[in-house]
Amino acid sequence: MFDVEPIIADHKDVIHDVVFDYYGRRMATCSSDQTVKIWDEDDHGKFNVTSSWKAHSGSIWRVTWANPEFGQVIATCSFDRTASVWEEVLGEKVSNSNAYTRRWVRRTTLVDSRTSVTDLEFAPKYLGLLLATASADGIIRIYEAPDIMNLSQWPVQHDIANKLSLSCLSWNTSTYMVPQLLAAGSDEAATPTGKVFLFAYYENARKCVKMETVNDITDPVTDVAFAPNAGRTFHMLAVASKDLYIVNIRGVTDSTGNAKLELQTLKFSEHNCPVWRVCWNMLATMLISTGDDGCVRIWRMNYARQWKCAAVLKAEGGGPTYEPTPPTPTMATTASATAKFYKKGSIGNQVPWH
Amino acid sequence: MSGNIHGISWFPNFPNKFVSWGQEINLYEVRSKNKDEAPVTTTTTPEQPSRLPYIAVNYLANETRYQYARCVAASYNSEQPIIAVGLADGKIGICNFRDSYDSSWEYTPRQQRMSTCLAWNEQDAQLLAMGHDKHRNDYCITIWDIEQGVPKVDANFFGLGEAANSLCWDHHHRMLIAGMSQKLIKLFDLRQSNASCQSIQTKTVQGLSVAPNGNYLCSYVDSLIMLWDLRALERPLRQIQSSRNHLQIGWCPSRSALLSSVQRESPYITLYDIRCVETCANSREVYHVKRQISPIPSQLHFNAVHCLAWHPRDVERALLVADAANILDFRLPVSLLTAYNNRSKLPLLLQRPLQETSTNNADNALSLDYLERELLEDDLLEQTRQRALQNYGLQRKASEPQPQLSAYLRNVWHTLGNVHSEGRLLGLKSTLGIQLGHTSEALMASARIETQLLQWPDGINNSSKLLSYRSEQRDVALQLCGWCSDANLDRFIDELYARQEFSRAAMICVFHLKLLAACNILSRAADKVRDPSMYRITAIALSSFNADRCSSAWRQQRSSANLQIQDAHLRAIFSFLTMEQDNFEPVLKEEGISLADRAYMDASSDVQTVALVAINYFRKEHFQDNRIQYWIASYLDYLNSWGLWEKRAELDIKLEQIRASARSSRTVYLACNFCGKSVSNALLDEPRPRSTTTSTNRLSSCPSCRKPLPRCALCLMHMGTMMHSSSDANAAAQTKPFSKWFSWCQTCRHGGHTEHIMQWFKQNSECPVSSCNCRCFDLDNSLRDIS
Repeated sequence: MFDVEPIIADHKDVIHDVVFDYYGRRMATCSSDQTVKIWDEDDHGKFNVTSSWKAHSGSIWRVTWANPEFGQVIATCSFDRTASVWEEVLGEKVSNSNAYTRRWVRRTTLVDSRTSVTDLEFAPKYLGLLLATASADGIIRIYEAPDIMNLSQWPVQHDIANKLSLSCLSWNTSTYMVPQLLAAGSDEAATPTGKVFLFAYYENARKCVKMETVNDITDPVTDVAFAPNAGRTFHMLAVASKDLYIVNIRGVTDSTGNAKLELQTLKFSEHNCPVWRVCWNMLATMLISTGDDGCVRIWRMNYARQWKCAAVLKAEGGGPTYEPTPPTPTMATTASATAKFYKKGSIGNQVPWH
Repeated sequence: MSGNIHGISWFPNFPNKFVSWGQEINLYEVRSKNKDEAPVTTTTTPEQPSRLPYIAVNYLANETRYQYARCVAASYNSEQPIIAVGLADGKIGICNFRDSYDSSWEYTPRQQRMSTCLAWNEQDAQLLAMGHDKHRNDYCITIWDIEQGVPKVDANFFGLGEAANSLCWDHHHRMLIAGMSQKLIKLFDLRQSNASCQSIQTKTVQGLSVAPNGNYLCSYVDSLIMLWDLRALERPLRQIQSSRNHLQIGWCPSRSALLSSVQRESPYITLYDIRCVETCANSREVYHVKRQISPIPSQLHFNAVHCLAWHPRDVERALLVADAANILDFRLPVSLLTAYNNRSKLPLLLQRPLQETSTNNADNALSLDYLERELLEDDLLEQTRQRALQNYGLQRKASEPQPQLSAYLRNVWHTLGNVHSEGRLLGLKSTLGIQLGHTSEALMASARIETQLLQWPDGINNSSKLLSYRSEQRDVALQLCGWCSDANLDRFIDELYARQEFSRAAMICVFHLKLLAACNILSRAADKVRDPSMYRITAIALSSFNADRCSSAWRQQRSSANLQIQDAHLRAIFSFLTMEQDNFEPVLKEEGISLADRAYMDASSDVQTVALVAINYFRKEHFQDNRIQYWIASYLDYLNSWGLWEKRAELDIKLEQIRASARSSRTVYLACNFCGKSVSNALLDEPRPRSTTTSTNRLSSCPSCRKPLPRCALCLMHMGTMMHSSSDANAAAQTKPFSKWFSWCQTCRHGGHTEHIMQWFKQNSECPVSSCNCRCFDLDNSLRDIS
């Protein structure tokens, strides 16, 4: 079991993302009100805002933490076509205590994108300080800070163009398979093609190429998330689209020695509405998905190794606010039988109901 | 019967009253939650639920004079609820739901045609703008001050020979905005006497509405929504094309720019969150975030939303008409955001504070429904953490059963302990002698195999004989699996029974063809457990088993029953009894039988156990394997992320013991700042007895280039010199304690003896080197807090 703790974020506008740091003791949120907030857990396990600042001049879509090995570093991306890297530094000593004020300093602004930067994520730590961004014009850019003591230099290492605009990306954190996988999703609604792409990042050859498209998912995708993998021989990718999908990915080597991916797509339609966000727990034994209707669904694997929705979390408005008394059957039938269409402001001299 | 409802509207100044119109016009009052609970009100109005079953309202009054209203608008009057009703013949009536009938509150246009739209002014609550259809000799827009009698003055009429499609007032209530004749939006500024007029050429003339922020104007036609900025009307801000035709659009009053749209024959409402980004050089870019939600609760099966009315004050609350006759109260769902955290707590971020209704607190407003509670019960994550805290896998005798483990894992450890105690760190298979090199013939030849003919026990007519193989290997294998040799069978089964592993005990009995014993066990088990049916049925089935008739009927039954029997051991029993010839495949393939009973299955995500088994039992050659390294690294990473540094360090020590084949070479070297040659050799060499007296001099400079070595910033002694320690006992120790070492700040590169530095930073925050402002000691502060 787990505890559920509601937190009032006090952002002035829609919150788009929330992420925890490596230790689970700090939380970063970003919002359309153009601010980022950093929350710290106190001794009683409550999260309190310790920093809040205006970070961009547009909606901030995503925020991501770097591994603590690189210091207290986050990156944000925004509709204002930029991504920024921030580092926490110590300021003045607070009088009569041993603590120092902290503030977040912008170390760099990545301005390469010509359109909204929709998602970004730091690569697994063993690859170095690497940041992948996805933008609405369909380009994935991979930046690297060659000197981790100097966060102001982030040359672009790779630049992969796609035909469709991108909405989300996710690194595979497992070192189980070389090359490293990077998944990206598109929210393009017009074309009926596959919307999730898998890229391979070869660390040694320093190249990044598209490997596969998940053709089973043709609806616009809003979020993708690789499951943390500690030892499984296959990878799991959760995809938030019109429905929830879990893609099992197995790396195989064919007869010619080329690495290939075997994909198996599972679909879960319980949400009844577009799924907005997905995330895994640490051991990938639990999947949490958030729907547009404000319901959070918690998925667990059952004894037969099938994913089942184990719990639903609703806030007010997510369900009926007033307990309905069942209508008399006659009323229900007449209501639907006499349902007539009425268009406001239609032009015509005939009055349709006379 | 209220009949079809064509529209609803809240009264802007009566937050709990609303009006619905259609075949008749009704005034309702929303019951507050407090009243709702008081039984008095509910009993006095027993007929209410039938009128509007899905919303808690009191019916107040209705207006019978005006039937089949074409359009209705609720006024801003704060004294009484007043509505204006536009009829199909053009007549506009004002109604306050009282009995007194005032003929001066009715306006009839000179030429009879349909009235199309109405708009009350917020500032002057008696001012009403009325729109009519086209007539070549008449005006289409009339402004009526209802206190001043029917309008006659020319200044009150606009748009001769045109048609009004929609009307609204601007933010300051001085400008009337009208969509006209399907091709124009006109803005009439009423502050000037002759009503100057701006116009925009556009086809989107329906549903004009000004956003709560006062700047945006929206309009639509068919499936196209157009957004305008009232400060710059030259070109539209944004066009939003959707796949369905819009029925109604409107701004949510509690948000700065949230546009809602009700679409034809759709159970969804579409929300467009309009945002603006200031890009460089005064240029603005407007974009929107689209969201589609179904406001109809899933247990009600309505097909379409026809109309939506935002509450004027309550946050994101609206009424909506579903399937033409049902009114629902609706609030935009609070988007919940959550993220994974390495603990079992699930934090939920709410987009806005939950509306605390009088009785509900935040806990009630947030509901958690369990669909499959048992799936959530054992959380591997929490187990892993607890086990880590309890030194899982760190005991000296790792084979000791650990109380918090499941039976399955106890078996694993037990088996491995057995293998280990044999002194043979070989794989399970090689212990069994079925390595790849051994063919079965070689096995047969090498091992002494006793073949026995086993009789089925009494009571079962059996013509066929069964072969049973006995060999030394078999005994070893059985032992490894945690089974026992035949001699001790009874004792073993009693043990299993005591451990409540009934089905396993029964299975082993059956495998040894002791059906009666199995039946006994099962029937006794059935008495003990809560849900005995499965055991009972199995017992009955077993007792009626007859080897002669272990025929197709049984097999068929089994294959269908297999799907229903959830206990892997019981399934195995049936598989065993119904096997054809010597085909044990189904028994062996039965998943879920613990490792002790069959080959090891790595199906769980329990990397902890896997890593710990590897650490405890694998030999160092195995550690070359990428997978095993990865398992261990992952587990160490988890311990790090939980902040269990000590446990991780203990494991590291254990790992180092395994790997310590060769002494690991030194990983840290000291190089001279000037010549780049290593200083550490000279420094770390044990001083030879004869040179002890000169050691201080020897270490003050680089051995190769003779440049001075760095000095402690506090005592100004060169690196490598011993500190003046109070006791000489320390000097005798082979290794210097950490506090005597030299250390540096990685940022400013200043440093000295650790003990000195620590003392310095107890009182100071800045680097001891003068004019260096580095806060060396606090640089790691954020990390330290966390640990």
